[in-house]
This record gives sequence, structure tokens and C-alpha cells, in this order.
Amino acid sequence: MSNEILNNDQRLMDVFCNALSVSETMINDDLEYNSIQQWDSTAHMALVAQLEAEFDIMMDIDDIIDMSSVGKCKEILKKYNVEF
Amino acid sequence: MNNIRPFQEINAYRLKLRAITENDLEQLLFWRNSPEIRNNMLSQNIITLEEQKKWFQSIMNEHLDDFHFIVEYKESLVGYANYKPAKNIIHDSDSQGYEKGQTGLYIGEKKYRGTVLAYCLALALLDFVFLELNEKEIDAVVLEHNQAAIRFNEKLGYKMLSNEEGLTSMNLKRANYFEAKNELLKTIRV
Repeated sequence: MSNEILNNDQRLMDVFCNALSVSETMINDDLEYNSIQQWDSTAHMALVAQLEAEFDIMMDIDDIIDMSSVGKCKEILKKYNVEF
Repeated sequence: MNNIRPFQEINAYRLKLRAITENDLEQLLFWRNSPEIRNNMLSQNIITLEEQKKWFQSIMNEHLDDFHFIVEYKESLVGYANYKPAKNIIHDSDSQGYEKGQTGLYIGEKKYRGTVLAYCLALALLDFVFLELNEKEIDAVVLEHNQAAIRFNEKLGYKMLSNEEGLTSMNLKRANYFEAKNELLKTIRV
């Protein structure tokens, strides 16, 4: 696994922690939106804005709406050439 | 208010908002009675299909100025929205009359709850209210414990008016909405 991929995992973790105001221990690939109180529509909006800024991408609105879990988020980011 | 019913379908922000029909009632009832929706409504009792049908008849025959939309995303039903223009409190026979118009909305489909789709719906509805109906300001009343809805409204430009007896009253002025909308459109690019 390259350093870049490790780094992207950590960057993604940091964005989720910051946008959802939760600790790293809560973040795993299976974490789904609306499964925790902190992940509501407003947090989702903040999450998207921070992901786009962190990885310097602009996501399609349908991809944003489809981003239903941390794992799904990684899948979608791969479409924008962010490797995990 | 004059007859404004011709504006019955809105296509915006990837969503279609169309006037509800009798065929939508069972779906609306299912969402409305689900704990996730019901626990955040001002009236939290479980309602029956008969009551739902009576409500539908009342909006079709009595509250003709109100707008009730079912919401579609990718040709599937995902939620509900309404706009009730101001009603004269003194003269209106409806005891729940109010001085300013009020909106209401929810994403009922579980798959999409807690996503930015709720913002797409709010933008579609508020564009309609401010651009088509040309309202200057509107109000919202939400349960004080529903912090997600309060944060959501604040992001749309609503300002807090009061907290009384478990209810939070908020107000949205046209200028504040368009300022907030510009911010939101940096993320919701459609």
C-alpha cells in the first residue's frame, strides 16, 4: 500500500471526524448516514464541502446524494481519481 | 389569494414536485406514521387512511390556496412538501390561521434521509415561494428538540424568533434566503 493511499485514508477520516463532529473510533466503512444523530442533512452538506476542498474535486449532485456510507464515499471518490 | 394553482409542478434541483393525488395517500400515510417523521411533527398521533382521505378532501375543497406536493427523485417517490400562504387569523374560519406563509417538508424515503436531497427539496420549494409567488418573508415553527431541523433552517437563512412551550419559531426573509442559497449552490451544483 502506497503512502499516498494511507494518507488518503487518514485525510478522509479527518474530514468525517470534522464534518460530523465525532471521534475516529466511530468512523468505519459501514457507517451509514442517519445511523448516528450527528449525520444529518446539514452535516452531509458540510461533509461534501470539506471532501471537495480536501481532495480538490467537484462532485456531481447524484454522486453526492448517493454517498450513503463511508464505504460508498470511498467508492465515489475513486471515480474522481482519489485512491484508497 | 387569487387562483395560483397553475404552478402545480416544479422541476428543479433534480427533483419533481407535483400536486398530490388520491393515489399518493397510502405512501404519504406510511411516511407520516413512521416514527422518524411522526416524532418531529407538531401533531404526533398516528393517523388512519380514513383520516388521511378526509384531510385530502379538505385540501381539495377548502384550503384551495395551499400547495401540497409529492416529491419525485429519479422517478421514485421520496418525500412531501407544502406551502401554506398567510391566512387572516381574525376572519379565517381555520383556527390555525397565521400571519405569514409557512412551508413544510420531509424526505420520507429512508434511503435518502439525512442527505443533501433535503436541501434540494428546500431550494426547489423556496424558489417557488420567493420567485413564483413573490412572497417577502415566511415563518416556520419546529419542535424545540428537533435540532436537526433548526440547523437545517438556519442554513437556509432562517432566523430564530422565539422558543416557547417546546416550540421554536423562525422567520425567513427573501434577502436572507437568496444569500443562503448562494452559499448552498457552491455544493449543490445542478
